[in-house]
Amino acid sequence: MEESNKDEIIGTDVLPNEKDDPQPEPLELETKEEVSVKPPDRPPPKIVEVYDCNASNALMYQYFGQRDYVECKSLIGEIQSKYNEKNEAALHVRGLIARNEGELEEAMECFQKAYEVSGKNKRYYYEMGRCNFLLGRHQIAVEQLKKASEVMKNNPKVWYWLARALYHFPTEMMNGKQFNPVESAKTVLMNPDIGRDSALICFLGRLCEELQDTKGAIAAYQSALKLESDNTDVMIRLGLLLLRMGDEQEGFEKLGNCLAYDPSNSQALLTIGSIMQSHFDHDVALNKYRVAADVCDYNGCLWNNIGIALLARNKAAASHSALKKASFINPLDYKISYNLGVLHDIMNLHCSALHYIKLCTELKPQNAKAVGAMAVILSHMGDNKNARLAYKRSIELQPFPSIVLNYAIFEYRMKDYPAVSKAVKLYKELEAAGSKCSLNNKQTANLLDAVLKQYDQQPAEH
Amino acid sequence: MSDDPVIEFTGFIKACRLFRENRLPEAEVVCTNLLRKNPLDQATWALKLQCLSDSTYVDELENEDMGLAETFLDQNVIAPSARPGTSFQRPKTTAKGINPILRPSTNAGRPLSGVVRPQSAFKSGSMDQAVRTARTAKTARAVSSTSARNMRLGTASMAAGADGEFVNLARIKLPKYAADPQVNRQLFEYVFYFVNDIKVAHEIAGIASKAAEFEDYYWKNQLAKCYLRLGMLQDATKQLQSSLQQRKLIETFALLAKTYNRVDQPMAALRTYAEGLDAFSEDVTMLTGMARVQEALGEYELSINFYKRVLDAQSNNIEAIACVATTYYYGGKPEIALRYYRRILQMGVSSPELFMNIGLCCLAAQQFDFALSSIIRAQATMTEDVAADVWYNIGQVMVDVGDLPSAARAYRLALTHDPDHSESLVNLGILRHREGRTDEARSLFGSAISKNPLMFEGNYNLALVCAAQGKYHECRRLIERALEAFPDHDHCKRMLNSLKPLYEAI
Repeated sequence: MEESNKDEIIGTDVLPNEKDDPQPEPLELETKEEVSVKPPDRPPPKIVEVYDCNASNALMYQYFGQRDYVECKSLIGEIQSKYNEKNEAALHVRGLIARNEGELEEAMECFQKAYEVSGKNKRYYYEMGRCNFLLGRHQIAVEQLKKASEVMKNNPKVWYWLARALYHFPTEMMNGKQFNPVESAKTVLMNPDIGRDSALICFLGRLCEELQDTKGAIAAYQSALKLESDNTDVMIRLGLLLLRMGDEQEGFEKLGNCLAYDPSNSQALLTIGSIMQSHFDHDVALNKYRVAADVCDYNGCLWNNIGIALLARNKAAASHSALKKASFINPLDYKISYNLGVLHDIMNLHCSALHYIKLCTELKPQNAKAVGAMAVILSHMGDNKNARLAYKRSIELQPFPSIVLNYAIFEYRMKDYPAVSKAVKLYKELEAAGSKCSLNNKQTANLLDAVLKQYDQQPAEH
Repeated sequence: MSDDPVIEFTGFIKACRLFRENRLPEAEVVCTNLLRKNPLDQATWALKLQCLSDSTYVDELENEDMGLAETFLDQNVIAPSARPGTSFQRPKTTAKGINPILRPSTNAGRPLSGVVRPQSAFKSGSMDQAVRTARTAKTARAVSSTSARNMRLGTASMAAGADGEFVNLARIKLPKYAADPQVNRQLFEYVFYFVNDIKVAHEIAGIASKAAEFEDYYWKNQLAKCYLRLGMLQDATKQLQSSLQQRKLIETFALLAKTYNRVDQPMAALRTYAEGLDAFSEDVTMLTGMARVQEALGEYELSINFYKRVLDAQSNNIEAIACVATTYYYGGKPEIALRYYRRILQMGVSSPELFMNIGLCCLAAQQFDFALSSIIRAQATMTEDVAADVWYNIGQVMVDVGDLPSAARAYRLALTHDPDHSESLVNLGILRHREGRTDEARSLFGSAISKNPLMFEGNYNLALVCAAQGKYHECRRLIERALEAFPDHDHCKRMLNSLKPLYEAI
């Protein structure tokens, strides 16, 4: 303490009473007198002392950079008690430390003090705005950040935080037109300067994604990856986005890249597994899932996919327990209950199947596929009246080619031939309209057509 | 036959016979009459002491209630920052140890067990939280250092001694009677169990042990019991160890393991139980103790194996059956769990909890008709203290059926029975959030956390809502607390990592 005092006092000699007193507090008083009260009538003091409150800033910054917060705080305490809280940089760093440690109130206080000390430098509005943003006071944050942006014109970070705060504004009517927080956040971020920081571009990508601007989002993520090629988060986002666009090859590549950096990334594993499953490569998918289940075995979607992969390998019992586990974890996920319904129907447990399909329709009403599946199960149970109702309802909600075909077969079994021909006609229309139809579907439709023609001829002969 | 004279016992013999037949109040009356005639009759006096203490006898091994002061002002813990797996506070040795998603935890943050036992209530956490929990209706915890059960016993003894206490401890010549091997055991048990004056009991045991020249294992055990009650765990350990050197007793092993559990040394406890098993092979007390410790450590497989050994030795041990059933249920084998629960039912136990469990197992095994009747049975027979849990489970069943409005109603009913039922609060919050009523969901999650701050689900769900609303600071706090309850939760960790840059970016 004493030694450092000596270091900072630039002068040849030290006042004798200072030597006796090891405490820094009286020293401050001394400085004040030295600076402010200078009686002109007294003979001028021999020793002139110059105090440099910024002398140990370099050390402070070094500690801060090394994340040695304990040392740094004690150094700052020393500086502040010595110079009566006049060191602006120390106040600033103290605030940063407090914010890093999650003490936002304290951080705001420090920044406020720094603001006062600095002669109202608006730069500190940037820090305060960020604290307010973290506290969820987005309105205040935006105001402060806007003030900060007046001084920090060339710093894209201000725009980034401003956009983030704007993003959380409530959607409401403003001046007669709809205020879209995402749109306005994007407008703020649309600035050529942001191309230097991946976090900024990544957020822009997220905004674009939310505004359905997939091309913009992909471009943003790709340039973020150029800046920071090992960011697995961005890779997953980009991969998922590409997959959603239908670009499977690219998306798969990105996710594979992500796994190269982080082999146990459960999100990437799950996605890759599901892509493989959609290409009927269930064994590889199961291998991927095994790694993912090791990391977190409490993921309902994961167990759902495992269940489907096992079912594809004709292991109904194992699939059943996997799906049950999935539904234990995610009881409100309609897809899992749909799968359970289908599985039970395969296992010839129609009552349970109906239960799960009903659960699915309760959780997600107006789902044509679920209603269609329910119709199939009902017809398996022999409840033809309700099965027909369910088919009609499903087609009414949204006609899927496979369900329409199922309906046609059902009506054929019921020997209601006009209904069959109507259904087949609907199927043809759907196929012509470009709905996805499997090869199997097409064959069945042709078969039905042929049978119908045969039937049409028969009554003519009689 | 009628010629045979009817033998009528009188006097001391009668009292002895009544005592043998466990008709304690009658025996006590006879003794009182005898003592009125001859107040200096030591045999009668001792018998009366025995009658009184037997009527309030509690198995000291099962008496695990711990007061607040003992739990939180505890100075006995040997290693405050233990290696994982060597402490109840840091139980996980594997990633799949304690996992509140796959196996729900109790109010105190312990994984759910098959039976309710007081021991499962102890858990780190803050004093503040414990005090708040103590104030709620259902999980009252004794605040003082003597446990709740002891306080109840204490008041019982006061009532019994309304016409003046039987033995005036302040005036009795303790050194004389305590050193007398004919009566000192009875006197000790009377003081320990009936009067519940541990200080005097300790004095008696000390004098008696000295009189027996420190050779009597019985007195060492009694001293250890006193030390346990007084919270002097190290002295208790010393006494028990020296007792074991003289003679190996099941009780001594069990008490020693219990002391080790108290000082949070599960490994030492397990070792003691294993030594006990060497001396008394397949002993139920030892096996049950080991199973409990393993369960508290999150090692369900091992725990179940011990419980199965218990069942080999004693096939009607309800605790073992229930724990095995619970583990099977949460292990995704409801059909097997159902068989175990049915076994409990066959043994004549019929409680609403049991019927509810059977109902849930049936539902999970898709025996819907049976599930319904069991749940209706549970609901019909439920008492006020389990009503909230029963309604909560009915809510779960409603979710499984897909009837979400009814589920919400069931949760509300659970909350009317127990306003502090945090699980119902959380689930109701989830349903509200699904309906898009975010603010309502927020307040429900918030009150769930205030009722049970260690709850993983409440903290995590509120954190998700906060993150969506841009309240990142609150979100960070909540995630950190959720991670305390479930340190390995992948999504929480990822969220925390994505929150950090918001603070630390320059």
